[in-house]
Amino acid sequence: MNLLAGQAPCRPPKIYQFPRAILSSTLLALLSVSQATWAANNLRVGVNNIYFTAPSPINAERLSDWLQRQPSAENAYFSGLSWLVPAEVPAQALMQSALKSHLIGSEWTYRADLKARQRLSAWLGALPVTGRIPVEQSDARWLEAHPAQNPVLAPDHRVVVPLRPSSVTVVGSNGLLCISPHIPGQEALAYLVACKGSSQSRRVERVWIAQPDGRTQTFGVAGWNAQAQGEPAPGAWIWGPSKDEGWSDEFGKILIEFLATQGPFGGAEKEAVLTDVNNQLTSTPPLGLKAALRDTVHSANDWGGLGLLQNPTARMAKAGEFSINFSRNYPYSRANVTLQPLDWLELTYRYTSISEVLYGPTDLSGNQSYKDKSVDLKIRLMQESSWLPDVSVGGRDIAGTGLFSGEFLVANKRTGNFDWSLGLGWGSLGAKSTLANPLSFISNKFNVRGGPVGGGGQFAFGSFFRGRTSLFGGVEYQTGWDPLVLKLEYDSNDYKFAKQFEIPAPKSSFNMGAVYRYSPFIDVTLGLQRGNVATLGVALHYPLSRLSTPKINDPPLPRFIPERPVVANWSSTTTDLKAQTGWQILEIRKQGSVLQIELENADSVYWRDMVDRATAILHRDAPADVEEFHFLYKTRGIAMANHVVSRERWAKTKTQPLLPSELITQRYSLLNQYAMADANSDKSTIGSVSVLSPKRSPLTGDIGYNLQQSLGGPDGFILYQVSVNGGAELQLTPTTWLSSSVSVRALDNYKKFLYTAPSLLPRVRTFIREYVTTARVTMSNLQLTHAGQLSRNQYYSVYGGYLESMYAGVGGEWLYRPLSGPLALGVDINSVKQRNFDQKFGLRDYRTVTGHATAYIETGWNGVIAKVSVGQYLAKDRGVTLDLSRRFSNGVVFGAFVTKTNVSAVQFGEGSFDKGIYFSIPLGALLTRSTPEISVFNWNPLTRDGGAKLRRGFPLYNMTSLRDPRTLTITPPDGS
Amino acid sequence: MLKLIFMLARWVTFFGAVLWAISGCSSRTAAMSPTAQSLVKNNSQAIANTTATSPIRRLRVEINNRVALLALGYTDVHPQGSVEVWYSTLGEVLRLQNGHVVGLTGSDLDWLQVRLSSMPAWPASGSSATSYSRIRDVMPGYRFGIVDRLSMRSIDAPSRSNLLALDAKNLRWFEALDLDNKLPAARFALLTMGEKETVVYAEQCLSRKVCLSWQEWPGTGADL
Repeated sequence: MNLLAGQAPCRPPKIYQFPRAILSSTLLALLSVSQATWAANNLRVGVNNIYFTAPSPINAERLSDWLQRQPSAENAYFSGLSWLVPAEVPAQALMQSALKSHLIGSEWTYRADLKARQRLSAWLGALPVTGRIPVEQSDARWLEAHPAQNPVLAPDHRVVVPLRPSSVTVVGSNGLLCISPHIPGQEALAYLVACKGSSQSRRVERVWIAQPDGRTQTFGVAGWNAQAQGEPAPGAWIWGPSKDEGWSDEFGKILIEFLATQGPFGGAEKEAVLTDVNNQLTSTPPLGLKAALRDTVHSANDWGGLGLLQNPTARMAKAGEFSINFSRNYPYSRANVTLQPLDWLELTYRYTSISEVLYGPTDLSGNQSYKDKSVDLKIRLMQESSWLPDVSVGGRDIAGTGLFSGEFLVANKRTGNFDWSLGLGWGSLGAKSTLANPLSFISNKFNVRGGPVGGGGQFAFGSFFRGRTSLFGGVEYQTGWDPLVLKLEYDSNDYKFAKQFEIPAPKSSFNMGAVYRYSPFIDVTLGLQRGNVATLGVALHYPLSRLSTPKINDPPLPRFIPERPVVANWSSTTTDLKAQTGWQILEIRKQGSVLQIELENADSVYWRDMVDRATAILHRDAPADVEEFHFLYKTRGIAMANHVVSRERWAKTKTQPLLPSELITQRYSLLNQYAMADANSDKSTIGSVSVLSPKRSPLTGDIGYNLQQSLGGPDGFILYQVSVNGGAELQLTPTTWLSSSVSVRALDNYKKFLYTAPSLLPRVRTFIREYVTTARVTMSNLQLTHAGQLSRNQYYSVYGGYLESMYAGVGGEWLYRPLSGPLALGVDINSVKQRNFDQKFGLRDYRTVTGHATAYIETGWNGVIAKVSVGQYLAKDRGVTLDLSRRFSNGVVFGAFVTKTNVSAVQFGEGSFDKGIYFSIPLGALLTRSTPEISVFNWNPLTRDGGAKLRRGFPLYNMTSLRDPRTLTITPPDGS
Repeated sequence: MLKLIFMLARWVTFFGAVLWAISGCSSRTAAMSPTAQSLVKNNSQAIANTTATSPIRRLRVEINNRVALLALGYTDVHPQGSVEVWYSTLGEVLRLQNGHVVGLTGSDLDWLQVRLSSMPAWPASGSSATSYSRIRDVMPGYRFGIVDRLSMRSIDAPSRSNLLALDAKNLRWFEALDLDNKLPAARFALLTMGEKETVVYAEQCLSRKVCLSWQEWPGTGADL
C-alpha cells in the first residue's frame, strides 16, 4: 500500500471539533474586550483545516494501515496527526476543570488580572475535550516496523490529519489569542515579540509550547535563564506571560498540557476569522530575532570545580555530572575529580604536584615532586532568579594539609552571554587581605586565622572563614562561536606560602583565559595567569546520571508472536533464559493459570529489563492457558521477592502503545512485588506441577582481571598491579556454600613500593605494602558460609575461614529488612586474626573482635541513602561511620563516607581520621552487553589503621538487595 | 542502526577515560570485551563480504565513518517518482527518491516531510545547472518548513568518495549545491546500463555535522 499515492478517499472530511458554539462564546468574550494593547488579537478558529479523518476506522485496524489508505495530499500535515480516544476524555476533562478552577483564583493565578482570567476561563471552557494522545511517529512505514508504537484503532477512535497550518498561536496572558505566520528559524520569543511588542516580551522569562504532535516543552527566554531551544512548529500553541503579570509556572504547565490535546491550530487561510474591535491584522514575527538562544556554558577552573580560572563561581553542574580535570599552572600541576551528587552540592578531590619542591628525603621518595591531597566542597545557598543571583558557599582544601585552604561566598548573575561573579574570600582566596573580616562582628576570633594543619586530613574548623578577606570576581563571556568561552578574573590570592613553597611574585592580579569546548564532554583551557604564567587545562566531563549504552551485543530476543503456543515447549527455556538474563532456573511449576519460575541467585541492576527479557522467553514457550508469570527469586536458598507479570498486558505492550489510562494498571501489575509471606506461599506445591527442573552443577566459577592502583604515595605517584583472579563456589546445601578466590599478580610496578607508613595503632591495615608485594599468588578468600531466614523480614548468616586478604576468623550477621521498606537494621560480629603477608594459610599474632550495628536508611529525598554504623573496628578503636550516597535512576551512585573513632588525630596519623569519596557505575550502563556487575571507584586518601573495617564477603544487605524499594525503578535512560 | 552509530561515535572519546577509571575494581571481562570490539571494530569488512545471494536488496550506508547495512522494505509510488523505503536493523526508515534523501524517520536526526519543487533533471555535461527547491521538516527541534534553494550541475568524477567496487570514471557525476550554503553540496553518481540510467551512489548531508553516503550493496555492475 502506498502512502503518498494512496487510493480513493475513504470518506469525506469531517469538520474538526471546534464547534460553532465555541466560536460564539469566544466571540462574546472577545467582543467584551476593549484593550488595545494587544498587538495582534485576531482569533482564527480552524474549522476547515482537516485533511482527512477516520470517524469509523476498521475495527482493530493499525494506524499505519489507516494512514496508507488515505489519499495523497501535498499539504497533509502528518506531524499534526491527532489520535482521539474517548477513553482519555474523562482525564482531560478533569484537566480542563482544574484549569477553570485555577482561573477563578488559586495560589497559581490570584495575582493575574481578573478579566484576563475570565476570558481565558471562558475560552478554555468552550474548547472540546478531545481525548487526543500523542503518537510516537506519524510515519506509516516507521509505525509498521514498530508495532509497540503503532496504535490499534478501535471503532470509537478518530484520527485527524490536518492540512499544514501556516501559523503559530500565542495564547495571550490577557486572555486573547494572537496568530502569527510561521516563519522557519524563529523561536518562541519572536512570536511573543510580534504579539506583545518588544517591551512587554522583554519581561517574559519562560515560555511553554504545545507542539503540533502533542508534545509540550518549556524554555527560559530571559537574559538570565535563556536556553537553547527548538522552534514552534506550524500549528503550535505558545504561552508566555510576562513575569509581572502574576501567572505561575505551574499554571503554565497545566495550560500547555491541555492545549496539546487540542491538536495544531491555525490552518487554511479561509478559516473563520474573528477580530476585536480594533480589527488589527495578524502580526508578523520581526526578522530581527535571528540569533537563537543558547544554553549557558560553565567550565571548570584550575581546581576542578566550576569556576573561572582560579576563582570559584556559584555555578553548579547538573546532578550526576562527573569530571576529571588536569591543569598546569607553574609550579602547580593538578589532577582533580569532581562529583556533583546533588544539584546544589559539588565535591572535588585532587592531587597537586609542586615542581621543584621534593616530596621528601631523596632516600625515601627520590626526586619525586611534592604532592598535596585536598578536598573541596561547594554548596549552593540560593538559586538565580530574575533579580537575584546564584549564591554559593564553599571551602577549598578543607581537609588536607591546608596549604591551599580558603573559603568563599560567591554570587553569579547571568546577563545574556555574560556571566558575572563576585565573591568574598578567606584564606588563600582572601590572601590579598584588602578587607577586614565581616564576620568579626560575631567574634574577634574571626580576625585570626591558623596556619596549615601539620598532619593534614582534619577539617580545620578553627580556621574556616577566619582572618582578613578580599573580594574576587570576574566574568565569563560566551562568544558568538559556540565552542569558545573567554574568562577574565581578579585573583585575590597573593601566592605567598610557607617558604619552601614560595613562587615568583605575581605581576598582575588579573588572569585571563579561553576555553575551547572540543566536544560536549571535553574542554581545553589556555590562559595567562599572574601576568607571567601561561596555563593549560583539560577537562573531561560527562553526566553519569545519563549514562546508557545500546545493548548491541546482547543476544537477540525471540521474535514476538502474539499467539501463544498451544503446547508448551521447554526444550530451550533454561538456556535461552540464561543467555538473556544470566539467571539460573531452579524449577518451573505450573499451578492453574500461574507459571512460577524459581530462580537462584538471580542478579541484575536493571531488573525491569531483565524481567521483560525473561518474559519474552516464557511467552514463547509457555502453554496458552498460562496467564501470569511469577518470578520467585531465591538468594542463597532464601526466598527474597516475587515479581508478577500479567502475560496479556505484557503482550499488549509489545503489540501496541498503551493508553495513559491503561499505563497505570500496567505499571501496577508489572511492578508488583508481593510481600515475603506471599513469596513463601507461592512456593506451595499443592496442586502445582513441576514442568521443568533443570540439573545444575553445585560447583561454579569465573575468571577475570583486576586493576588496583594507589595514587600519591612517596614511592611514586602511581603504584599499580594487574592481576588475574579466579573465583569458585561449591554449593553444599541451598543455604550453605564454600567460596574461594585466588589472585595471580601479573603486572605491577611494585619494585618502587618501599615505604611502609608508620603507625601508633595496632597495624591492622598499614602493612599494605607487605601484603601486596610478598607473594605473587595469593588466596584472598576461602570461607564457608551459611545463610537463613529467621522470620518474614529477618535474615542471618554465619561464616568462617579466610574472610579477606588480611583477616581470617569467624563471624555472624543479622539483618532486619522489610520488603520495600525505607529502613533496614543489621548487626555483625566477628572474631578475627590477622593473616600472614603471603595470604596463604598462615596467621599472625594479632587477634581482635570487631563488629557493628548498622542502620540503612532510604531517605526518600533525592535518592539519598544513609548508612550509619556504630561499633568496634579492627584496631579495637570504637566509633561511628557515616556513609551518604546518592543513587541516580540509572543506578550510578555518588557517595562519601567518614569514620570517627576514639583515637586522637595524633594516634591516627596522617589524615587524622578515615574518610573517602566513591562512585559506582553499573557496567550495564556502560557496556554494550547486559551485565549485573557494578564497578566501584573508591578514593580513600590514605590507608591507616584507625577506623578500619573488616571487608566481609557476603553482607546480608547486598544479598537482600531485591527487597530494595527502588529495585524496579532503576532503569537506563532512553537510548539504551 | 543510524541512531546507534551516532551514539557510539559520541561514546568513543569518553569511553577510554571512564573505563580506565572504573576498571580498578572490575573483575569480569565477559561484557567488556564485546564492548571494546564494538568500539574499535569497523563492520565495513563484514558488509563487504555480503553476497548477492539474498533476494533482499541492501543499501550500504556510511555515516560519519561508520557503516550500516539497510534493507529495502517498499517501493512506494509518488507523482515525482518511486520512493525506496529502506530499513535499518533498529527500524529507522530512510527514503530515497531518484537518489535524493526524502525522509529519515526514527533516528537522532530526522527529516520528516521532504517536498521537492520538482525532481531535478540530470543536466548534460557543459549545460547549465538545474535549479529546484526543497522544503523539509527537521527533528529534533521542530525546525519545520526549512527551504533549501538547490542547483544541480554535472561534475567530473571526484578523486575521493566512499564509492566501492565501481570505477568512478565510469559513472556520470552530479553535484547539488545549496545556494544559501546551509548544507554542504550533495553528490550523485549515475550508472548507465543499457538505456536505463540509475543513481548507484550518493553523498548527502543531513546537517552540517551529519553526512551520509549510500550505495546499493552488493553494487550493480560491480565488474565495471
